[in-house]
Amino acid sequence: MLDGFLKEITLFRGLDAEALRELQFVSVPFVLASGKALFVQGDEADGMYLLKSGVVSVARRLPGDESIELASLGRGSVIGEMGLLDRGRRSATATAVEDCAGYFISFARFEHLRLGCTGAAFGVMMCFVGEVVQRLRGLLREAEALIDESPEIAPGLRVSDVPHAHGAREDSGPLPRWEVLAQIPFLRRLTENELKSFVESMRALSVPRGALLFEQGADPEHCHVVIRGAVALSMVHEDRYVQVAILGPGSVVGEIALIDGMPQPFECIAREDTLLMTMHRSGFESLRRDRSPTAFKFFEAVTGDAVGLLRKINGHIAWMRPERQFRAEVSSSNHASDDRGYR
Amino acid sequence: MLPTTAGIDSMCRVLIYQGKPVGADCLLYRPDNSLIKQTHSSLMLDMFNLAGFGMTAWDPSSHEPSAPFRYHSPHIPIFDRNLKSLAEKLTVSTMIAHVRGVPYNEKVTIGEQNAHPFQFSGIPLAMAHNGDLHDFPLMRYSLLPYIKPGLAAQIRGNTDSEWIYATLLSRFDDPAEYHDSLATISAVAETFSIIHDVRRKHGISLCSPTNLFLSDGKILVAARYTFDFGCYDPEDPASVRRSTHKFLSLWYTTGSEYGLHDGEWKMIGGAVDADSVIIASEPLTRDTSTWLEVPEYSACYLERIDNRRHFRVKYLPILHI
Repeated sequence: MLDGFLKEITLFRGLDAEALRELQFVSVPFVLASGKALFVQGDEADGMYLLKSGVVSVARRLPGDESIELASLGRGSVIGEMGLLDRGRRSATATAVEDCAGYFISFARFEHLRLGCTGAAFGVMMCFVGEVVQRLRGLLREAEALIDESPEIAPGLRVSDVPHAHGAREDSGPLPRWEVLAQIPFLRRLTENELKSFVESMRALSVPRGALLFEQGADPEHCHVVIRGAVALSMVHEDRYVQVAILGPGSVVGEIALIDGMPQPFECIAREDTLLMTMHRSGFESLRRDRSPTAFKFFEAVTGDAVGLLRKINGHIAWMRPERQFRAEVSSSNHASDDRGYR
Repeated sequence: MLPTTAGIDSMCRVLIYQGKPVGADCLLYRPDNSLIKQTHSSLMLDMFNLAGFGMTAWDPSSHEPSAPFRYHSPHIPIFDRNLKSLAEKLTVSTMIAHVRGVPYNEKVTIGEQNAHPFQFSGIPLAMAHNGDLHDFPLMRYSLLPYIKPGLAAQIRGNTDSEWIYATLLSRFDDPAEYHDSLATISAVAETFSIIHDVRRKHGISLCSPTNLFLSDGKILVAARYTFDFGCYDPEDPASVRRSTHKFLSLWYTTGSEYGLHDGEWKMIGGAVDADSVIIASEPLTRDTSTWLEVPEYSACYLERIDNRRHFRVKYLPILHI
């Protein structure tokens, strides 16, 4: 029944029997007639859908009121999970192309799993974060392909315009007092004891403005929590930085590569004079095995940040696609010597 | 949830438009998150903006089209019948409009002279500012060496915004001339560099958002920028909590026509053929699906290509590595 169906879903293949049972407990059936929307872009996310039958089309609106289809999804698909992970707004509209049925996990019911910090909740979260990272790398490949087709659509700084300052240095000074740390996003979620224990496992790192924290393509060695200041994550493509995101206090940096064990997808430079807490890969793996409340909250922050990056890249691609088409039209127009006139 | 700037002391709301002529009330009043509504129920701020309103707008069909309509008032715009009446009659091809937000205390000066956008006499370029330079009274007069005397003499108010404007204008050899978008962006970058230096000389290094909106009726430039983003007072836990850890927002939408379409206020006509743009502190509608964020630390502008206006982004350099 549902248990058997859950085992079909690729996203949940790593879950054990207990985790699948807990997921089953929070899932409620839904049906949807052809032509109706599961959810609309811009709505506040309230849960995710597991599709058992039917087909759903996922499309995104763009400036100028155009729409592009992102995916056509069938049996075994998970739809709308991003909103569940960061409680953001729906980034696309999902519409039933034919009559659909499946299961809905509401945010409220998922919270029930989450607040218990159960092994099941941890397992589900790690499945999600792995999925998000995989999707993120796919979007980066798509962005690179768009830039390859039309290099002028990449508006970033030239690599030669960003001479790296002296590199990061291990700070011999103390971190801010724990009363200060306790006010920073993500660290705010930890209890006093959890925070003190978490901080003890990290070391401080000062990174001056313009300094390189890690290169794109580097092997994953560390992840960092921004304590003060900000870093820029960029794709390096040909001779340009394509800025993807700016991450301020409370953000986790460098974790994408640690999650899937592949090279760093981004270059990371300090955009401001920045103080970080740094964790070696071994500490990250230890937390992944740990499943303590601290580990759970840390990976919640990691998941939320990863979803944030996914949203950012989606935004960039939403701008790049029409830009590429515009450039192609201009180029074609120039070749044809056709006077379009002013619009 | 949309990102908010909860916790900061004051923050204005601004919009800039350029494109096909459109009724001013279609930007100021009628959308469900219009600029005037952001006075009291902003989607992305947990505060009121009660310190006045200003607008500078160009109508190519008006008498002396290069000279804009200007309206500034220290009053709360939602109660301003004159503004509503004016907005219902005015058709604009370019507009900068601003609702002013200030801390709720007696130290603030409310007055017409502090209303944005600023436009000095004889100068075509107007500017509005969304943000707050931390400890500005400490550094104000250190900007004087960077401001042409004739422009300094025109400063009437006491806002950081007007001083930023005067410093920016002074980057041009002749501020009374028209300048293209890229020259204006260079002036913006140079102004930020000067402000950064002056802040450092005074030991000021706390987070200070500085979004700018500029137009002379011909060009449109907006910048999304913050000095020392993420930098709070490490000795004061309360200041950490008060500090915003989200980059001050700036959004845009493009298309070939803006208006009420299928019951929704939006741009239509696609992004490829877009020649109209709205750039604003936050989207003008609760449905944000046709809006995108302007990248952090960047300037955006309209570029003329093949007689079409086209939205472009230019990243600003990292200061003083």
